[in-house]
Amino acid sequence: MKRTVYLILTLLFVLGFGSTSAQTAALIPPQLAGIFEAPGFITSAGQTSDAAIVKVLVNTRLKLNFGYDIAAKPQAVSGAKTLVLVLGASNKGLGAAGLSIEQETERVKVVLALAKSEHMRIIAMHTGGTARRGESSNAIIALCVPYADVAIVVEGGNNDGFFTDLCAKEKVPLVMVPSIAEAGNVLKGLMAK
Amino acid sequence: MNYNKRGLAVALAVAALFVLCIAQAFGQQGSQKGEQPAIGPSIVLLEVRPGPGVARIFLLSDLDSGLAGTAFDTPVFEFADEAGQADGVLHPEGANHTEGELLQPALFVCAGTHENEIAGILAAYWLIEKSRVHGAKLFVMPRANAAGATWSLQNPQSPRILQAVPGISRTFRYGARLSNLAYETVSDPPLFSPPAAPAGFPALAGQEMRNLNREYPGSIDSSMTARLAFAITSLLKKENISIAIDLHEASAGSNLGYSIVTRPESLDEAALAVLDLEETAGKSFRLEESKPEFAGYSHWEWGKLGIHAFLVETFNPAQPSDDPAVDQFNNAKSPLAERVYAHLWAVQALIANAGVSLGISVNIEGLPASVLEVEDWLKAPLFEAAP
Repeated sequence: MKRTVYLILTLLFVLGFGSTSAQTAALIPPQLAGIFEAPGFITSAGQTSDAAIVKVLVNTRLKLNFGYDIAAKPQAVSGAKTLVLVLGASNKGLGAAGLSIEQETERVKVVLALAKSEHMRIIAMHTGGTARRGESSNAIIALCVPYADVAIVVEGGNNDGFFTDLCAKEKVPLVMVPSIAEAGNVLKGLMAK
Repeated sequence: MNYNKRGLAVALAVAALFVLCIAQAFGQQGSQKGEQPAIGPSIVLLEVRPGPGVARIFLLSDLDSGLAGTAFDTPVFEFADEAGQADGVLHPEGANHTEGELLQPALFVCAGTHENEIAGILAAYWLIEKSRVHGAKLFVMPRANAAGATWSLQNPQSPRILQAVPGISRTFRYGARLSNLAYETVSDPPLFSPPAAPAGFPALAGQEMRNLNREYPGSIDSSMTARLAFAITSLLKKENISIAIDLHEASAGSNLGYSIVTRPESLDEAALAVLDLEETAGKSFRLEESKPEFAGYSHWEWGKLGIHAFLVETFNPAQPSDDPAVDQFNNAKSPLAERVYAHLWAVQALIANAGVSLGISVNIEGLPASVLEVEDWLKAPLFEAAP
């Protein structure tokens, strides 16, 4: 029994989960663990302030030192190897950035095109629950998810199965997590050590 | 001062204030043919029993005598730093200090800006009755706009009364969002623009002149609501407040329920608090960044003074109509105890994370360990509630 436990722990460590809890490790698709490289960059898709939460989660708590600009232009993103898109349309956020939803959609399209041209890996994150699942949010989610290598979604945002269906259709691995903190742990587990 | 001496001093202060306020209340009732309920500081002093953390109680009229004897006067509860003289914080330039001056950290928790947003008021009462503070002084103002606690949308002459267990548990006033027009000194204008509003800001409905949360930083030569805002701003300056939190509630339609709103410079602190609250309160708060259109709001204007200022919202199922048919205590979607619990832990999370930015470590002792603990407190009679 002890030997079995030891073997499992060793296996997890070899797979790159040395600093990731077993619970988190179980959520991460094995083929994706540890393959996302630094430098990383975080921006929003839809100007949701959830991006600011992801920023402090990734940089202040997890010390991953990603670049951040909620309304990043392509030149700011250029050079990154991992792009984190925090999904969700916010009228207040759009207003603060002086953008219409059409302008924001155009910005996101340009950033996605650059990311693909530079062979970045893309992590789509949705942490805002049902509040970030209105019509505008759904449109921007549907725009981004097909480009993503993985989608990390806090459970409340997928109550209607929207992400489940979209990710299945686009063949994008979907990781459902119970909390924003756990979304961060999953993201950390995806990153190369 | 040791706890016994402090307790005696607080008890004497409360007794003196109580006598003063009840006399005032009866005077007011007498002048209005005995039909009006109590007004001013007595509203709070009848509803809460200060606990061992409270070192001093004073009235807002101590900062502006123009509020004395009016429905707008309200008590402030000062908590001493239990850890002794805390390390100072470098405060930006302000009215009572110079840039770079080292000051003892002081914090401010405000509730009852809107007197129908009851969970914040009760969270403030919990702090007053059960908490101690280590690492800073704390000022708690549970009913910022006491004039809003003298009426309700259902009755312009009287607030509603909430009681968890009829005839047994403590009672609380459920007032209105705006100051009572009966106690204002000027009539509502046709349209109202917050004094601090930027050029081109669209005017609001005239009754918003009586919305305390559009009147900051306030003025002594306008309405009484503006004067109230001015006195609160004066308090923040006088006491060199570093962190200020205004507790509110929102309706389902406003999309603000369970959110923290703050200025851009405090956004990271609020974001970290949101993460903390997932764990401590089991609640997913949303984050909103405020902008110049928030002119006149407490947190926006306080932030201009260099204060780390936050607006906290929970979800009140009775709003916006203050529907009396909604059972605040047993509402399935958003019971009152859950909202009070969330407010209290939001206060702790915001103070902790803003404190990191300021280089101070503040701990509030005596927060509830569970929603059930708050529920039991709400169901208890008033005298049993005091420690």
